[in-house]
Amino acid sequence: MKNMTYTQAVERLEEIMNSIQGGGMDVDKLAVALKEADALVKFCRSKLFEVDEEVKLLLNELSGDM
Amino acid sequence: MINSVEEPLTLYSLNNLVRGAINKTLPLRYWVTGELSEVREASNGHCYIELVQRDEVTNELVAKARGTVWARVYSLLRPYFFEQTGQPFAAGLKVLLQVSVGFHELYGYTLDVCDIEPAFTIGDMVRQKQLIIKRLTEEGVIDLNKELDFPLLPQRIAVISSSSAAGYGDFCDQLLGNRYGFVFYPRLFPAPMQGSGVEQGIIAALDEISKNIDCWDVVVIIRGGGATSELSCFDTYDLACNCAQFPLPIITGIGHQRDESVLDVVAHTRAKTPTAAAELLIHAMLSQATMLSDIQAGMAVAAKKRLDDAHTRLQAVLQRLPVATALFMQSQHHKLDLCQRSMEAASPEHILALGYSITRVNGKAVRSLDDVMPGDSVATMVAGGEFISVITEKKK
Repeated sequence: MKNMTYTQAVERLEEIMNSIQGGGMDVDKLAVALKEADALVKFCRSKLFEVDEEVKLLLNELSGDM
Repeated sequence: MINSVEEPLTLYSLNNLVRGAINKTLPLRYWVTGELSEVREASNGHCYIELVQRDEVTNELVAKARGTVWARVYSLLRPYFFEQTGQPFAAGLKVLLQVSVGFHELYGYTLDVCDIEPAFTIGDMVRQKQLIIKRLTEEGVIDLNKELDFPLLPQRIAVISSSSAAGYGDFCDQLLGNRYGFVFYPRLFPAPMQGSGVEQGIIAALDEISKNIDCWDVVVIIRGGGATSELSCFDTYDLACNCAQFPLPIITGIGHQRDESVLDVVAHTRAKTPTAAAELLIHAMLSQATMLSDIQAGMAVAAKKRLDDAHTRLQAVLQRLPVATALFMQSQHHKLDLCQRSMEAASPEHILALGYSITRVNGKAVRSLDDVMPGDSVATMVAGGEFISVITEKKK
């Protein structure tokens, strides 16, 4: 998941959701799917709310005024 | 001829005659249109201008005149013009001036400016703007930036602004102080936001951003607002063309309530102020946060429903089980009955009772005439017992 983009993570979330809603999801696999979905939501939230130091440093180098 | 070769006029006298003729034949004030090709404010408060007219097709000069706006007039005209048009009275503008025609023996032909009609300049600027928009439309570039997908998370923001202007500060305050705690990475690419350097400054900043295009999500062009600050520097073709074709969505917040610049027209999204531009980005993040919450809640509901469905199915099976079992047992019973009956029909007792018998010689069942010889003693079994007899004869 670490190399996933936010967009990919959201797409995967929607895929899991559709699979559960459409009844295509095996009950035995439900728990695993929910765990994955939970991890994906956490990952997405981290993009929104947590500072990515790597991005911060890179952009500091690129901006015109720094 | 009013004089002879022996009595020539001095140049001054001739010029004086010209002056008299002009004063006599052009005694009124006239409204005249032209383009300011030069505007020079002198320290004494007077303003010296040069007015030109160009050929509409070739753009070559067809007329030119010097003029003066005396300090007494200029002190009123200058602020009035700026207030009405948002433009300083400067070279490059088309103007409608009220002038009186003068001639001075030393300085020659000159126009004294008495009044100005700013509506003409505004109209011309609008026309220029429309021409640029028309050209961009015809070239098919006007909507290119608008057609770009807006990123789901517009976090890495290349800001083009003047580092000294309040706009950038307002923008960052609003963005980084957002009450949801969203993370943004705004970085400044400085460019002048007023005057003649705007166009080249913004284009240079865009070039700088495009060197690492993958590192940015959006471009924001902002300027703090003086309410009447000039807007025409954002109305140039080259700037609009560069912005329209830029590969990242551009948001403008150049702080002008009254009018929309060409840059606003080609930008992906126009915000009225730097603060509004920041709000727009925060809102984009908020819609993602809401979407994630919705998905999380929806996932729980969907999973519960999936389990409920499975349970309902199981219940249905369990309900059907007793009936199905009874039916199964009944059919097995029936099969067993049939078996028993056919086995009974095949038993020796049953066959003997029907009148058949079994004859044995030396304990072996007689199956053909060859098995016995005359004189053999045979035992014949019938229902209820057996009897012994001796073969006296064989017949075929």
